[in-house]
Amino acid sequence: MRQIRFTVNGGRYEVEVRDNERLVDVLRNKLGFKSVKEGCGVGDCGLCIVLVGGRPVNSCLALASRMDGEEILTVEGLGSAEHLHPLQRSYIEVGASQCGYCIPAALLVTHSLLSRKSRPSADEVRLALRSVLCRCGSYLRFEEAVKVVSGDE
Amino acid sequence: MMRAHPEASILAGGTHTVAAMIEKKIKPSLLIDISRVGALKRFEIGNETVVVGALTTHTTLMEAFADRSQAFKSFAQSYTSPAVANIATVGGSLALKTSTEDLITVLLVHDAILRIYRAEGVVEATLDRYLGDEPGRVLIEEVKFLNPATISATFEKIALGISYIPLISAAVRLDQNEKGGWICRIATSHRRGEIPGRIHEAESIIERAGPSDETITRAAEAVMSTIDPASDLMAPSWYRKRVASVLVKRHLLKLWSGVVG
Repeated sequence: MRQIRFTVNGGRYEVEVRDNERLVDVLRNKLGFKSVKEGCGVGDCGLCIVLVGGRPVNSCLALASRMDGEEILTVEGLGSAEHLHPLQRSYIEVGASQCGYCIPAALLVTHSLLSRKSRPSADEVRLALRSVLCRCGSYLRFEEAVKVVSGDE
Repeated sequence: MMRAHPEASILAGGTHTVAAMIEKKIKPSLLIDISRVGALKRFEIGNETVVVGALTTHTTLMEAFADRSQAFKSFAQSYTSPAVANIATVGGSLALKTSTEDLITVLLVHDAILRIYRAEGVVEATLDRYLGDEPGRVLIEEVKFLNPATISATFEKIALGISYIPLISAAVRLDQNEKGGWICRIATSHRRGEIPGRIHEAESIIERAGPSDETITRAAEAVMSTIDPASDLMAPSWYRKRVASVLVKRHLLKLWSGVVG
């Protein structure tokens, strides 16, 4: 076991973790961030994606013991029910959410992209979204939502 | 530590090891976490060569070279998952020695040289030679390769739409040296079974006689007759041979027209 300190959604946490404990398990089970979903568990589906230092990372592949000092963002930190993030509002407006399971990951991936490039091209949006497997096939709506936020539509 | 703990698994980015642990393909009693070893994080871009530590991520390479190199641009655009690229490491890819690691095929045509820790000591080996070695416990410290901005190289992958796992991929380099001679490098994701490698037989056809419609056709045929790809669920060996030949011909013609044009 080891003690790690990290920031999740702006809050500071100190957690005791096993050396082989995954970030997804710590975030969901120890800290209660239920937006972090586990799908395949081996880095293929991307449903467990969170932002570490602003970049998307599969939390099922990341060991929590390596997160000491890191800043993590889950979708709970993006906006609240009362004050949705513009990207969340955009997802709702264009009807991007179908079953909803991949939406936290898709939001974080597109949020990360927009924070690095305010007006990404369609190809850039599609490449970024390759990290997330959406079984409902909402990719075109995700792309539309990004266009709305970036002012391209 | 590797000598003292032969049962241990080395943990770099974790994209392979953690997934293999979850799937119970490996059950290491000990993990050696090398992610905070500063010596493995070197990143130096020189005029002619680049030296990167084994812990350099794929994203770092893409951001450094995708705008300056067709091969790295294509590598980035056909990457399986950008989120995985944020933690996948150069050393981890090379250690796997497998066709799914596109970076190996790309680095083969950049004349990559590895600095490796083995049980018997530190050695340097070309990537091509390292891939031909028998499997053994190694720790890759760093990789030196030609600066991608200074050479003409391309990469293309034929892959399934969702997974982006390569059915076959090929990388090609074609340049002229100061004396007017030709430098040709050809590599495929499946040189022998599932191991990538260079196709020296095809390279020498171009280097000896220079590129022409006839030599490029012969080089492409040499690719088909030389490589011995595995057959698996995704594609049979004969298909991989033919597609590799088509890719190599396409890119040799493209590079030749670029050099001449």
